[in-house]
Amino acid sequence: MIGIVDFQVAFPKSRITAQQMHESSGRPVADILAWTHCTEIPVFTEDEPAWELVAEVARAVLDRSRVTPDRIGQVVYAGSGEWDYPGWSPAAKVSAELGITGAHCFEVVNFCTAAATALHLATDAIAAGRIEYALILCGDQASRGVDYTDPESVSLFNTGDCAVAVLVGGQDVRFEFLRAKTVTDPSWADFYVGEHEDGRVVTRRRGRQLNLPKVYLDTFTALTHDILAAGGIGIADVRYLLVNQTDRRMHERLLDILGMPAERSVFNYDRFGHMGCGDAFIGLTDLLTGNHLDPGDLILLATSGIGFSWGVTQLRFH
Amino acid sequence: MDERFAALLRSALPLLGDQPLTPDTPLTDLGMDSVATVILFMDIQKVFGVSLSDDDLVGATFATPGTLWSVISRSEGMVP
Repeated sequence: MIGIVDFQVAFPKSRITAQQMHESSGRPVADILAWTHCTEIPVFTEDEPAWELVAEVARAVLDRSRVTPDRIGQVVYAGSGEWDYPGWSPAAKVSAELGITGAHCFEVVNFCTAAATALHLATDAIAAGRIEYALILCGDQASRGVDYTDPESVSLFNTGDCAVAVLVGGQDVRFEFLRAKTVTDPSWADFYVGEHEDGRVVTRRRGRQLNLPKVYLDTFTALTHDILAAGGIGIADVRYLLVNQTDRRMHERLLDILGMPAERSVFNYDRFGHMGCGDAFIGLTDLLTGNHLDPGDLILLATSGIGFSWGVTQLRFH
Repeated sequence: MDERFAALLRSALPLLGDQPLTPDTPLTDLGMDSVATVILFMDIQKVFGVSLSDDDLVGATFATPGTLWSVISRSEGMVP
């Protein structure tokens, strides 16, 4: 059995508030809240490097699991590529901080589905016997790519940052990795494009494509059915379906299409924005701390990222 | 305006408030974004039992209640 042994999520100290977004963009606060759903969102700033908080949570996970650094064979830093510094490996930096010297450290840029992609890579490497443990880390500064002065960027104002560390291995597994399927529709490659402005990369949407939400819903529905079919189960056998918090209306509609009651998902819109790769792990944390899971429960993670890529990952709780 | 149609439109227009809906009301000015458009697109098919083409999922269709209703009216399965 291979899967998630342990994980932890932490949030930066800084917050961007809806009031600040209003003052920068000129959009009414009510208009902004329709997207963000919460009045403030955790974000990393230049004063709080993401990698430091990531190292902190990774150390906590390793200590709890009693896995020594020499047993980590792969360290994958997953996210949008908006790291603390350009041309720099946060995977290597955190590994140096943790004393992990025998691992392959690299980054996976698959935006908000990158952690799921990294989980797939890690479980493959463990199943093949190439490594014993993998450490997946998330901690990018996606919020820095948001132009809060641009009222047309309001759909990105819910972007937040967090730090996540996930230990993947073959012993003491809490969330068994069963299967995953990810697909990219490359026709959306240029829909979001980063532009260099004032020493940073700002994400801009190019044009208004009405059918993207439909592609989103159609693709997630098809992937979910594929995963269910591969496991020989139906949607009623799934205890929870967690969805990246990109848009609450899409989240609700996807559940509706799949015939999944809202209470079998996690809604954190009142507390957080869309926290990149962290969304799924924030949801899993809530399920654990709320004692909502029983051994054997099946969980689906629906994650998506710029590109656009969509993925569904099936886990079993132990 | 068909009452069911008006109700669907109102749910998709967060900035409409108490303003009246007319065939010429500009929908995007009243907060109908791409997500609301697609949800409306799906709900219209469900409520009216019609089949809309993905080719209809364009700005020209969703410009005003009038342009949208004209597409619904001539769609497959629509009973006047």
